Amino acid sequence: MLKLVTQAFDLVEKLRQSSTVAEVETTFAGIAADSGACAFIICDIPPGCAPGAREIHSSGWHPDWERKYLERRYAEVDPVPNSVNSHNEPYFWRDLIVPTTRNAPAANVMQEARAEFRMHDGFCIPVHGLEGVAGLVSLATEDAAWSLSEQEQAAMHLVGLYAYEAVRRIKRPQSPAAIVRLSPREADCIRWLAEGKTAWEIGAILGVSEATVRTYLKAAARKLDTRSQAHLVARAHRLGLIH
Amino acid sequence: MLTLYAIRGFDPRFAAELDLAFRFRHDAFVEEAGWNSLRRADAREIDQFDTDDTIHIVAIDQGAVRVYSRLNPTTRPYVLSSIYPHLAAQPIPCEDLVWEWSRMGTAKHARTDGRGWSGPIGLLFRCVSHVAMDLGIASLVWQAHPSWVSRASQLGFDPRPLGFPHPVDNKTVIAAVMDVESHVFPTMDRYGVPSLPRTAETTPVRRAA
Repeated sequence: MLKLVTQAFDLVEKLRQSSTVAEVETTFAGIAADSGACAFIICDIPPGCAPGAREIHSSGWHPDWERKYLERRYAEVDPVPNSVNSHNEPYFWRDLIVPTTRNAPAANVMQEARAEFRMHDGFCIPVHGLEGVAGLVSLATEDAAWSLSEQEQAAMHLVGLYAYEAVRRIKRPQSPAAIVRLSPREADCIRWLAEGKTAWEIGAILGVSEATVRTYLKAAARKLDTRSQAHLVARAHRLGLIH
Repeated sequence: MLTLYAIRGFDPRFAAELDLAFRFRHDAFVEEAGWNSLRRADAREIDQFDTDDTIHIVAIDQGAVRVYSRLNPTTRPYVLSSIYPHLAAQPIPCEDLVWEWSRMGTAKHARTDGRGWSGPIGLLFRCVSHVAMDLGIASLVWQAHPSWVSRASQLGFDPRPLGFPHPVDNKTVIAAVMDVESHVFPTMDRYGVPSLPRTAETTPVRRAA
């Protein structure tokens, strides 16, 4: 079974913890290669703009294809990104119905990708957020007989969504939770709290007063935005601040 | 004027609001979404997960329900643990501070008005977060289309998957859990999510912890 499936939740966790786009790209490139893809792209579709007009993160595409794609504004006619708005679920490139007569440019783009750059098929995960926010994660393969089982498609859907979210979070940070840092003393107090110790006991262990322990815990509760000691322990654990 | 209610169980003081809520659920989930197994002759959608522990979140404006959601403790049987355990590949949460968010409902007229569909969903997130914070709930478990992962993330939540996307009644559903944090409110403001007027009220409820 593909690593994609057996390690999906670890991969999601890795993507969620990534702090640079390069990390996301490296992780996702591994996933793509493991599942038989040769290239991938993660991009935005800003409202009223061509796909990828704002942010493009990609890896593995032939440089000539990338240049041509941008120069000739293929994004405007390529059926793969242009199907995002009409699809709630991931789709294979081969399953897109591309009329060859009425919409020749669309068929031509796909034909050119196949004939000149050996991109025979691909799998595209559409991303739909709140109003005006859409994007895609698309993988290409040189393998004309490429297939993914239902389980693999589901795992790719999951991991693809999180790759997209990781890039969006890194590029437009807005979550203070992502940068919460506890002092070593605060973390110690929470760790002992998790062991069921009282503030007085923690004070005795750490060699400080009970009042000081309460001050540490109060500061930590403020940082983590928590309402009770159980909440504090749960949140600190979940954010990976204590183990 | 929008009024937000957080009603515990079948609190008789809010019988009228609950009646509106159950009728709204029948309209939204049976008539519109086509969950026919929930159909009831009296057009009030109520199931086994509407218990004395349930918190009904109902935002009512001029006699009409704008958004509705249901919260249930994960320490008792809940929708994910009882009906859809196969959606979870990770351990199914069972903790005092973790509650399940189900029956995410927004008024149809608000959604079908041009592209304004995300306004009501933003309002739904705001009402649910507001009530969950009030109750001291640390995290919410939910199952919905994977686009809810994107929506929640966009509003500043950090949803973690409990399982793979999975087909349920011809739709894809993913189970996830996310913390409820106050920093989502300024993010909602930035996205233009309607704010709750000062007149909004919640009924006094026992804190979750």
